[in-house]
Amino acid sequence: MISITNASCVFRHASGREVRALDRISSTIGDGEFVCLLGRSGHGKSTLLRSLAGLNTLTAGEIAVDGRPVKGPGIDRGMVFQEDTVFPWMTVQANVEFGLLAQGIPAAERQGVAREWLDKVGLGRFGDSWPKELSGGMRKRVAIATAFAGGAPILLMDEPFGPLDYVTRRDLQNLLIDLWRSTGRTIIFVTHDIEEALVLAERALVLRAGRIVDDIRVDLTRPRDEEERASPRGIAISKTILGHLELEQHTPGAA
Amino acid sequence: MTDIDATRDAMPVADKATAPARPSPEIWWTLGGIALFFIVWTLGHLVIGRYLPPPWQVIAAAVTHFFDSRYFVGLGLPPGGYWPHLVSTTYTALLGCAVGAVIGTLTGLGSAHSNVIHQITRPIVAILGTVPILVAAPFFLIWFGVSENSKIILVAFYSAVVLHLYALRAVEHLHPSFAESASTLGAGPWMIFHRVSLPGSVPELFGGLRAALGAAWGLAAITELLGTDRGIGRVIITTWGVQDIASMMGGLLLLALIAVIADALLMLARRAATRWMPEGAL
Amino acid sequence: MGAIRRLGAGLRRDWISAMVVIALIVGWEIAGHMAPRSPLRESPIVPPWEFIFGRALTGLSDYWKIEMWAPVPQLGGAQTLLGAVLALVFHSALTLFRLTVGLVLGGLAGVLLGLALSWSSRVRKLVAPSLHLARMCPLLAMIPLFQFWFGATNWAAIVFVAYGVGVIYLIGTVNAVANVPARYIENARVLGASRLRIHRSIILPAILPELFSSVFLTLGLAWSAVIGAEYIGVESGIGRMVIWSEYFSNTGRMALITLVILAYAMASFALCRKLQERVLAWTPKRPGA
Repeated sequence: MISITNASCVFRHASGREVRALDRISSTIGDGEFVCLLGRSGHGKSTLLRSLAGLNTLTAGEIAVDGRPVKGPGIDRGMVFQEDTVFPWMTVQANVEFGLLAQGIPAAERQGVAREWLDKVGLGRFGDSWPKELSGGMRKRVAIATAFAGGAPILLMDEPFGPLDYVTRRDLQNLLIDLWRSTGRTIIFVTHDIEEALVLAERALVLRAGRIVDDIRVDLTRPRDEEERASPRGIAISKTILGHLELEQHTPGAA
Repeated sequence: MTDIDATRDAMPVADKATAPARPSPEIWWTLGGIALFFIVWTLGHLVIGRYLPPPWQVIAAAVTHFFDSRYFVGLGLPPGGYWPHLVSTTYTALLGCAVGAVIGTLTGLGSAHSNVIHQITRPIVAILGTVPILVAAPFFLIWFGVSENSKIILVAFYSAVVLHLYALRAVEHLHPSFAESASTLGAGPWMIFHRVSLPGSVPELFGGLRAALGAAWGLAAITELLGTDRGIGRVIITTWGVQDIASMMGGLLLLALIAVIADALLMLARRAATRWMPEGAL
Repeated sequence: MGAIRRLGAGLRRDWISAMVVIALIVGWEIAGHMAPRSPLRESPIVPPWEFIFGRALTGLSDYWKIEMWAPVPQLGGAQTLLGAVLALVFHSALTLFRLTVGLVLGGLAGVLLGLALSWSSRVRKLVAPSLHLARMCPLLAMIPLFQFWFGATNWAAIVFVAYGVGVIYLIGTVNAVANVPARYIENARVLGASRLRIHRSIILPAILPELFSSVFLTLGLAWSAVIGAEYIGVESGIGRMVIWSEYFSNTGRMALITLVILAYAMASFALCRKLQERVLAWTPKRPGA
């Protein structure tokens, strides 16, 4: 279980201006949940995710996983980045093995586990390929396999499908749902795309100006196809989220 | 998994099999270019006269005095023609460059990782990187004698600075999310250094190695010009002393030839070491 | 006040670097006193600072050879501080003159020849092997050749610097032109531009940023070239002062001149950076550059 207590993070710009990226956020995320963090860019969702990963230090408050405070990156939390982080200088197989190598697992076992995960993401035949020989969508599959093969019970995903085309994106969303259901791991997924949240999430946390403004249970039935998302409940959720995201009180002229 | 089969057809893997079997027209352009070089040189000789000996005289000098030359001994050079001097200069350049490259790569990557190392190395690199390194040559000749050591140390200093700067820049160019990704997978600082920073810097390190090695020949040669017991620079300065311009250019030509070959081998090594690089990224 | 405060802040941030500089200076002094005593009074193995800025400095007046303003030690005159300063200024001026003229001439010749050779891609391919050889032929080893052609004169040094710099700019220009995206040129051709017009209005502006990136490289190279030319042959200039000192193993004088060259090189790099900032201010930034 992840518990976030009064998490705050203040960045100081070079100009001296302070930016409050996280503002006393509190929440708990249970084991095996699929949570989407939604929000417009610059409203703290990536900061929260990076804090969960331990790549970012909080200025106040605490994040704990199973009661142990997060002090830095750890093998209990895996991450899939928005950028292409598949190491281009390693073969696909070596990439997937990397987390296991870092954990000091012997070579034979490493190879077995990595092959298994490559099969699961549909890249069984590409173990010996260089990443440059793969398409962008296939490299994302490698990144997902790497994160899952590392064995972390919690997986953090920072807009991983952002730069992909629509169809590839849908494929990868389905793949991710399959993997989530078959492994029962906790997934925290950052996105700015409401439709993506509707397809994936069990629960949506909406962030605005560094605070959680809503915690929505996405209780749609699976598969979350076009009809399901267009159901009255689906549309209601969309509207609620959209309301949080877009309808800021902008009054021109008022300071 | 249908998209996998669809993308496979579009993959560049298939290109590997389509290497041309017959010589491409490029090679003819290169041969023509080499011919042009010698034609212009010959024309230069016809215009300038004895101050620019024609290519055949220079090549004849390089060939006849290559292994054994009584003429060279008569000039006061050690017995054995160009050959032992070429070996000496090559040994100096390669060894100095290798030692410097290892040191520079380590300090450069180290400074990219640790602020303390960065702060320690910065003033030293600022001094060594700005001052034309060959002003140190006379010092080295006094401190380390007119032996190969002086040359090697000079080349090593220069290569270390070049590789330090290239390594530092290489890590800066490497996207930080690579290291972050590795750390979320449980990699410690050492593993990030040797599995991420080091391999990720390889393409730029080869660029630095090429620059360092290219300059190493000249640095070795000028230390020899200033006075060491052997080396191609020694031949150049000795033949210069008796105005034997053909033998002097012969030495220069042989040195350039070695430099070209070493550079070509380095580029082959780079290609082998960076097979993972996307095409056209360098 | 502001400058002092800025210095203070810099020291607080970079105190380790400051300590390293102090350690180098102190370490040199200690090494100077620890090193085995040299049999010659004028040539300690590691000259301590007080020796460098004392005896070695006045000793430089040995290289003042004009019977004016200060006594000439070669003709039996006394060693004076004024003579030392005059000698330094005289030879520095010569070196800086050779460096500057060589840089400018070499830069101009290299870029113009590069543009001419880039007239068509066939010419480019034909001259490629010669350019490769020119780049790979070790510059410093060619000094005797230039001395042979031009004598031990000012011109020999200038032409040598210009050659070294010119080769870099020549290759830089040819490569930069080859790297100009073909779509720019095709677009201009579709619009009916002549070849000359394309060269002037498209290729030249497009390659400018890449050419400026060679400035630092060629500055370092020009320093090496001018010092090298003065080491071998040319009988004047600050590089020649190092060799004069070396004849008699005057390590103190060598160290002093090395420090002066270091100061010049640093100043020239700083000036170059200022100049580049000024010039690049109006040049559009290339994506990814």
